[in-house]
Amino acid sequence: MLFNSFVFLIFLFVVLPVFYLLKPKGKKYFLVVASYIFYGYWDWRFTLLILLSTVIDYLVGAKIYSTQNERKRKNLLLISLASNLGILGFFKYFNFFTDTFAELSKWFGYNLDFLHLNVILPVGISFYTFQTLSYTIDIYRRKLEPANTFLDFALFVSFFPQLVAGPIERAANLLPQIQKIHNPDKEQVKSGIILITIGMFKKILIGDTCGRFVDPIFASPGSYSSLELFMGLFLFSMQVYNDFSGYSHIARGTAKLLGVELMKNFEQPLLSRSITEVWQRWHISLSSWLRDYLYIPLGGNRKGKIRTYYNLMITMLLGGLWHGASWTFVFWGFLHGLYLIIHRIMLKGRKVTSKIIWEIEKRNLHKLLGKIVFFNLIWLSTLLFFRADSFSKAFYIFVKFFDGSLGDFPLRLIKIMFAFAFVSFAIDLFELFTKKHDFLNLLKPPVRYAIVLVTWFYVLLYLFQAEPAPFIYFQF
Amino acid sequence: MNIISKILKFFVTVVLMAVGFEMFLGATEISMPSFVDYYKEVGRTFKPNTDIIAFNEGFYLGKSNEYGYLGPAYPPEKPDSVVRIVLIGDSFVEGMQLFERMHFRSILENELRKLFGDKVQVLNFGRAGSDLRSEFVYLKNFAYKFDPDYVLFFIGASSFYRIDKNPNPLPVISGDSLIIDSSYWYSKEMQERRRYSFLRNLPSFALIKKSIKLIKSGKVMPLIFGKFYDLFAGNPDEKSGQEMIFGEKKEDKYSEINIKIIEELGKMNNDKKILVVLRDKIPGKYLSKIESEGLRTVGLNDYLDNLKRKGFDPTFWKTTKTHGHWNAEAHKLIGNYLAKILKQEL
Repeated sequence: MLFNSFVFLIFLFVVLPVFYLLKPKGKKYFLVVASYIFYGYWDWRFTLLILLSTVIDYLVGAKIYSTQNERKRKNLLLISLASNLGILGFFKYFNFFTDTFAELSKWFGYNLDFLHLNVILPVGISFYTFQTLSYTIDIYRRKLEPANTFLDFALFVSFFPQLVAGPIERAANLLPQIQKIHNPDKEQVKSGIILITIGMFKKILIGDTCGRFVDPIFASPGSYSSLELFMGLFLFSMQVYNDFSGYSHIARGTAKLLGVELMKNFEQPLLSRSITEVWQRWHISLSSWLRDYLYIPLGGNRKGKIRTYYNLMITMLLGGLWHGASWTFVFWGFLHGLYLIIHRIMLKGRKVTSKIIWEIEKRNLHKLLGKIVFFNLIWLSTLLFFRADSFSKAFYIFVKFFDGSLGDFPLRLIKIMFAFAFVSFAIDLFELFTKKHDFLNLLKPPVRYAIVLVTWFYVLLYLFQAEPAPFIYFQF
Repeated sequence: MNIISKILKFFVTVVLMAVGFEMFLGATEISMPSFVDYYKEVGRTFKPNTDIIAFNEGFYLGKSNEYGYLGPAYPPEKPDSVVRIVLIGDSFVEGMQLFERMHFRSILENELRKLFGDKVQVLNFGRAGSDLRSEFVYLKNFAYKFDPDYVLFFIGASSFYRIDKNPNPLPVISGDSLIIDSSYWYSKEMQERRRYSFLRNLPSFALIKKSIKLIKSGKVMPLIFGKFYDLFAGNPDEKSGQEMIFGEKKEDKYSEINIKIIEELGKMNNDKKILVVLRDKIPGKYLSKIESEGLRTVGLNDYLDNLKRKGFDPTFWKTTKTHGHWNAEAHKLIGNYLAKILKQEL
């Protein structure tokens, strides 16, 4: 079920009142059923996979906790890793690896195309797999106690607001809230409604509308001028950010209406001053997951410079692969790894803070702006491989950028890019200065109500125009 | 006082937000003010010099020229050395699914210029939703002002079966001849359109209009209830591309007038060379009438059918995975095909 659809709004209008009326245990049962309906709306067979994952991790988690023998604990963890990554690997990466193998085999005269299987990718599988993995790993590390009941754990895995595109929650944050689930307080309701409103605006009126420009341009780049191609890439940056951060806002807002606080997933990433900083601001739940469960176990920065660079590169390559089963995503990860290493060398041991407000207060605005613009250009160069469906297309677009053709309406294209960027950055600046994602709550009620009302009018109006567009990150 | 102040603040914010949204929609071109206007002798046509954007099965970003049609602005006055070709037809000719440079008009013009130089000009007078009657009036009252040497009149089954719902001047039979009736200009509908024309300049008006259209068409329930609607109401059969564009086939209501129009085109052919481009299969009686009037036909339908047999679908759009108007590849092929035919004519 897509958040940006009427079906979801109806679903929410049914779920919320029933949830408020039920007793705590009833709330849990009801939310598990609602979450499975939410997920099964795409394809009911997906629910079997999530159920399998839930059962395995619940049993393994409990067993690891009760076992003292280190070797047995490790073996149990391996069972959890193998089953979760096995399911993910089969559904997401099987064809990727066999297709690559078949392609290589063709060089030696073998045709192994038959290895390609017709499997569908279950929505959000990468998200809930990482979430359940963190549960068993944290129990193994003795940082977490297992869920009290199977019901609690089932709800932790399937909690519908964040099921298909995160934030990838840690059990330490989400599980205690689920175990003591209760009705939201007034502040949570206020904040939840504002977050959903802003999220819908970002997703529907910025993300989806940018996508209408992006898709045809990337589909046949040969038909477009340099500036039009640049617009396609620039608007893709706006699209992917507003699409995903919009989703995260809606997810957090919906969770708040159910009395649950989810972690922030974005902190104005496009206002970053460097590639290092962006990973503290973009998809925070994934970057912190990769840091805690991959980069640090690999040795982090504790084993010398060369090993640090190696660890960074491995983390980013796997981060790229997490996004999609394609070599272009791996290359996207490689570019991020490379830029991170270069930036680390340039920093010479200095630390990167994410407090750009401090620079604003210092009034070094022109320097700050320069850094942000430079960062965004670097960001765009990586996004090209994120969006293009093949290397040949990505390189074709990259080369064509330099032919300097403007097309028939250069000023109009600039106006469109500026208008989208202005609104997107304005929301980020409001968040930055108020330090709140639900910054509209700082306004007096009549003004706030009016803004919410008018925003919903336009959101619903646009929802009437076409079939809802899926969230980009659902495919991951 | 406090309540009045709150109410006032509420309404002022609503107005400011609505203005802000209008600016946002317009600047980002999510929705644009209407690009059509009505002129008594011509009916619905493009507002001159108006930015246009369309997201459909394809993507169009363009502008009407200062004379109120699409493509390069060739003025009505034509130097003697210039050979002018005008295209008349419906949305297939209008081509608001792809950029001007990919339109078959551009391909055709470029191909002809390779042989004949800059003296060849191709003008696009395609107009979505038109039928044979309104296209005929558009040719006579508007396109002819641009002094064409050749007219490529695109005709398909929809030219006869569809009824142009827009208020336009229309041909009527008076005695034995065909006259153009412009009385629609004084109709209640036109008066209302003129009175509320300012609304068409609001970007959100286009969104509201589309929503109302959707509600009226009965498609709103599947949109709201999604799969649950399919579950209870069943999934209707998928419509073909032709049906999606033209709707269900209508009966041939204006047969007599259509025959008369073909006769009239036959007479006009003595002055300007008219080529009837058959876009798809048309009823036999019209085809024989076209031939008996000495109008030359161009079998674009045969050419496209041949492509289909070879596995190329000219109306399938890969990006949106939908059937609709001619795709970019088809435009290229059509432009080249027409250029080949016109090279012999010129």
